[in-house]
Amino acid sequence: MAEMRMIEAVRAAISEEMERDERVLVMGEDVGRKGGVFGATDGLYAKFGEARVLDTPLAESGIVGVAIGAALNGLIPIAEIQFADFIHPAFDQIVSEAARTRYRSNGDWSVPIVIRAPFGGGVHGGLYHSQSVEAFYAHVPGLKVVVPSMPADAKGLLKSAIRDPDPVLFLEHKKVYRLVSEEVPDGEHLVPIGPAVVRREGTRLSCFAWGLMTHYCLQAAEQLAAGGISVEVVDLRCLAPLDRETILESVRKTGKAMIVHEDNLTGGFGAEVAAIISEHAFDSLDGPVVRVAGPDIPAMPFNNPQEEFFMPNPAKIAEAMKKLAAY
Amino acid sequence: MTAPHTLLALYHTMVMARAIERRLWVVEHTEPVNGYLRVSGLEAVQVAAAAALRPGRDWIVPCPTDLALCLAVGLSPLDVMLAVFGRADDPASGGRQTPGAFGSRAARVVMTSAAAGRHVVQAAGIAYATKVSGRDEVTLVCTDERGVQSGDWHEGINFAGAHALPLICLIEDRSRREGPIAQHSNGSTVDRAEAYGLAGETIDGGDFDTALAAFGRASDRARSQGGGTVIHALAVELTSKAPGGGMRPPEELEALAGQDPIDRMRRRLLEAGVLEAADDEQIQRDCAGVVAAAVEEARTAPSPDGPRALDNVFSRVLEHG
Repeated sequence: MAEMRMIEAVRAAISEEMERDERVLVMGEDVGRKGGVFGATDGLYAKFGEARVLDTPLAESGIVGVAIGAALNGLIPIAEIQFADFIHPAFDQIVSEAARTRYRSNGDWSVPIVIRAPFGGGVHGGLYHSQSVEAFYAHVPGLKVVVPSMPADAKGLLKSAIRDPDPVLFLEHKKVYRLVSEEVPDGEHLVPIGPAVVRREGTRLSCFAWGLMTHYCLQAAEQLAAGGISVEVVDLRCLAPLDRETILESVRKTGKAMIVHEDNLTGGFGAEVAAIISEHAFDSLDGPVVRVAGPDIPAMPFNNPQEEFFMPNPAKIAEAMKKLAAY
Repeated sequence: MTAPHTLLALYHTMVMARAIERRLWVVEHTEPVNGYLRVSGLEAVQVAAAAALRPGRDWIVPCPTDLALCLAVGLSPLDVMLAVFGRADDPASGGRQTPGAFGSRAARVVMTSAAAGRHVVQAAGIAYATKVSGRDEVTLVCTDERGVQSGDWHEGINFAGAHALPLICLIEDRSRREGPIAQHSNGSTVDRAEAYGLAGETIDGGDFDTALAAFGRASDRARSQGGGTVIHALAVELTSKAPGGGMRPPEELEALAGQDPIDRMRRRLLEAGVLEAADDEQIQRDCAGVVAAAVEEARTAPSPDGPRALDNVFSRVLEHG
């Protein structure tokens, strides 16, 4: 076991999988000599060489398209999109190509790729370095969407993603990269893609989150505990496939549900979680299903007051929790 | 030097492709199917490509017009008709994709989507995997002249040039323009290929020998780590419909008839003594018969079950879905 932050856990997962299987390679803008803008691939170029740690042109459709082709011909590519904000040119390659290849060929072909993308705000990244893109992709059958919030999960889920026979979008919150550290198991540490995890047990309401918002919800829950309100915090970790059972089990226990995400409210993934709860746990509800999310504006502004206005934070979440608990 | 029996087999494939297209003109008006496969004019360049490759070893990333190419590497007329009728036994997609999306993992023919150009960058990825694995494989990717306009064509060709990949990009251009591709401001396709670091040549896509020689050069270049090639094949679509809409005038149709690649191949084989006139008539009858039988078999073949639409979304049924 070693103490790691998420960025180091991501790097360890990639490095170990590249050592384990020579078919695994990394490609993306600045992933090679530079080691990635966040350092996720730092040292891999020297360790594995330029053919397996491939610097690509700044062309996201090309990055994912090349990864798809390499996968069709037997490799296991990890394609890095430098910021999730820039993934949009690759939307077609991800949605119409990677996610549909198995389906359109009736199982003859598959695309075992991982697309890693740092996402999220709160870092003064402005409109184009703060976006949350999970809702676009969690909507797509044939694609798995994973969003770890803790270092050990990041390692275990990324290793599972690399070994997965289907395409996986792996979203890493850039503010979490160096936010927390924890003991991360050495070597073979696999976390299955799918199951959510209860980060904090509680009885009065259930709070569902992923990425940075998991941490903020835990902080808010800690505040409420001081006032005698017990909040359960569930880290979904994977949005596709989604662990409906853990969501419903928690709501049936507490009777109240809140979903927190920093993506804007309308059409955000919280709407899907709310719909599942309404459809399958209606009889257990003792209050409205509440969403705490970014406002419906095009993107997160750069300036401090408006970034703070956009981002859910522990104080906003705690306020919403109190209100729901009192309902 | 191509062996006589190989030439005859390729000619047979050309005739079969034409017979399928012609039959589909009727079928799509008499049956509730979409049989829109338009290969006419491209038969020679497609079978020449197949002849230059090693089926099952080299990679083919086709576009929807590549009927003759796919027939030449193993697709059967029945396979085509099962796809046209959307039948369960369609080996490429089980009736999911619209006809023209050929694919077979065993034959290394990649199933592509209907989005023009997207597959070009994927083909570059296939060729990259070949290069880093140190294997002796060539990847052929085909597109019509419109695919060249897509961003993914440029991204894929740029990547292939940057890494000197063993890639051949065939542009099947029936726009009848010898200069720049439509919607490009200037410069020929060959200019663009060379700018990206690939070799390029424009050929008469209706002439088998010309095409075979071009693919031979491109294959040799790819196999000797010399990098990729763009082959811009000029051809004509042998229909009464004009490329820009409307109908072709009679004098244009008459002129087109002289450019039919099957007629040109037939004349070549007759002159070389490889083909006898009587044998040719038999080939025409055989192909028409095979296609008619394939239509009948596909017409009565079972459709997929509706709920089987849920199959093959993921590698296995998800535990948490």
